[in-house]
Amino acid sequence: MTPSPAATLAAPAPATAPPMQVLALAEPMPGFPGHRDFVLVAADAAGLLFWLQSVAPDGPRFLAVPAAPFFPDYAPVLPRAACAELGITDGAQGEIYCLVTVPDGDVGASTANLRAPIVVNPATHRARQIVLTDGAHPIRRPLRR
Amino acid sequence: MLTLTRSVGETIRIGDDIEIHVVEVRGGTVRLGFKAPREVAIHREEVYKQIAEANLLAAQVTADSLGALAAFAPGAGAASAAGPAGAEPAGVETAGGTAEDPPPA
Repeated sequence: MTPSPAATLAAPAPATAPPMQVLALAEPMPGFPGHRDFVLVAADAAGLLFWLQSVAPDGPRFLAVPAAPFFPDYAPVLPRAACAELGITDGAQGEIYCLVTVPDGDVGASTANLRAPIVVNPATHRARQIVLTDGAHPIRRPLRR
Repeated sequence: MLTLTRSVGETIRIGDDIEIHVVEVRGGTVRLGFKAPREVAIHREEVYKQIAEANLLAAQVTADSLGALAAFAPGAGAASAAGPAGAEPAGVETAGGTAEDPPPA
């Protein structure tokens, strides 16, 4: 057994997420039938803004923010069936992103969709937009603090 | 559109693996139960439409917004505050944690 120094990582560094993640949606997002294959690409240096970009030539592109740093109080209850399908046992194992809307280009009025988060299993690269049954989570939560 | 008449306790089957049960009918309201493969999402129509509409709007965000949006980003509390952006949020209010909904203990 020859220890290979390069193979031993001290600790996974959460800040250095891979710059690009290929995602397969279990089901197309409402409004965009036919688009299942996306990439999640970092859109800023701090790792707080991401493009969720369809791999199709004319496919849609969304701006997504990781839910945890933006909405620390956000703890959606994910349906068991959806978790099972994604291969996560609870929300803790999944990465949760919210899609951002900038109405009429007015960044100050930007909102994030907390009702239908994108849940990603980072281990399998499977993802899904989960429409929560709990109507308490707003579709348009202001992003501005 | 196909129209069928069913009574409480009866079922409609769609394809091999989707069942719709009529659970209860009271006044103008009907309660339905669904059995479907888990990859089949079942939504109330108005919720589905709202999400589809929100998604369509979300797909219109352009890269012009990125710089300003970064200013809304939380301090993140990460050690990687040495980003070249230099866009610090003006008033960070994350100190005491102003949760609207206290998490269930």
